[in-house]
Amino acid sequence: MKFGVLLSGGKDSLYATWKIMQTGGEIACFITINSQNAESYMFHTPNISLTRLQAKASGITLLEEKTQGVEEEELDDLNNAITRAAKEFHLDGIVTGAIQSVYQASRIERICHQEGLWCISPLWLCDQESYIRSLISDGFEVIIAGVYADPFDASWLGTWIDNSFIDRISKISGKYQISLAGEGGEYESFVCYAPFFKQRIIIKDADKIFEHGAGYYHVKEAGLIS
Amino acid sequence: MILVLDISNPVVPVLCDEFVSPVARIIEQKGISVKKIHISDLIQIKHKVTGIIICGTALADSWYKDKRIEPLVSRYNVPILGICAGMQMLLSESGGVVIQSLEIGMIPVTLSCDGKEDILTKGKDEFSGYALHQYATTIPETWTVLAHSKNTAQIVRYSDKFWYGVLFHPEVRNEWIIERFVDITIK
Repeated sequence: MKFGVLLSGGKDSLYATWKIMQTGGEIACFITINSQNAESYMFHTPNISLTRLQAKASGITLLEEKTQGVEEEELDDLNNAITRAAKEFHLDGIVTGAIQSVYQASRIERICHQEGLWCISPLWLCDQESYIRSLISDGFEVIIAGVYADPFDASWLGTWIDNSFIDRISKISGKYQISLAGEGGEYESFVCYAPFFKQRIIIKDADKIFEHGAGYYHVKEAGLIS
Repeated sequence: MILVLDISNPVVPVLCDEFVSPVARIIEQKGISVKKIHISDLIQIKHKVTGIIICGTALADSWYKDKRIEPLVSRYNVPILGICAGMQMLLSESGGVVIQSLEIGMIPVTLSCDGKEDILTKGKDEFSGYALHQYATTIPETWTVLAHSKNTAQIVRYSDKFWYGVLFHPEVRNEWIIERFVDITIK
């Protein structure tokens, strides 16, 4: 079956891609919604333009759609993008990286149903610690690209999701009710390398922007190396 | 051991992760052993089965519609919980007719008078359930409605057995239903 993946640039959409590939599914395209609203309910925003590098690194075509990011109205833009991708790439379905968000999942399910497409969320309700450990052991190279909850501070931005990250976040997750995978919007991530990438993304220049308890890792320059 | 049955289209094996594993995990967290198995592989069961959960599948999946669970049900005289498409299978094989009934997202669910007394649902008069289905069935006379949404029956029970159907997905935000069903299998 042929799928399009809703690509945010973060770990969940790219690990979902990997799971589909491993179980025999074909990924025909990535779909990125470029939101102008940094607080979009639906779409991840830090470094969203870098999904172009991820698509290039994996050799998969990227289809981009812009949205103003107004709550609910942004769904029309998502609908347009999915319709366009389905027609252009003859898709059977859409893949999402949703883990727990019924807000995101139900809206994407509705669009897929209207378009006669399958909607698959391979990480849905997964065990988050096992997932993060698999992400590391499967060779994904992922950085923290945004932090939006206590007690995260600027020191987390740009750090790798590795075993020391798991130790560090495990120590605070209970006290601050932070989900290990960041599904509650506590942090956002960016994937520099996945097992199906033919090239690796290197970040050449970046700033840590942190104020009023939240921040993001602003990548100013990045490229691909073989 | 509780048998957790996967009725999803085998062409999309990742559906097991989405619809079966979360149910199995809730049971395991109660310390009860679980066997996940696809409906095509039922002949392989060699363990003592104390309960069966028939899981749901993707909204677009209709592969299960020409499959039958009657051979499984008659082989084991144990409590059964059918979730979403699993409930449709249970009821359609008891005389229910499959009908169009689209519900997606969180929906209000209200207990009936029978639901307020039943061991599975007692004490949870109103709550929200995560619906993901485009079909339901008519309710055969041998089944009792324990809870309903605006559109259709959401929880049903076979009159004289511990056979239940839940149309929404209890593994999403209503784990208590699966936990109580596990308790019923222990009793």
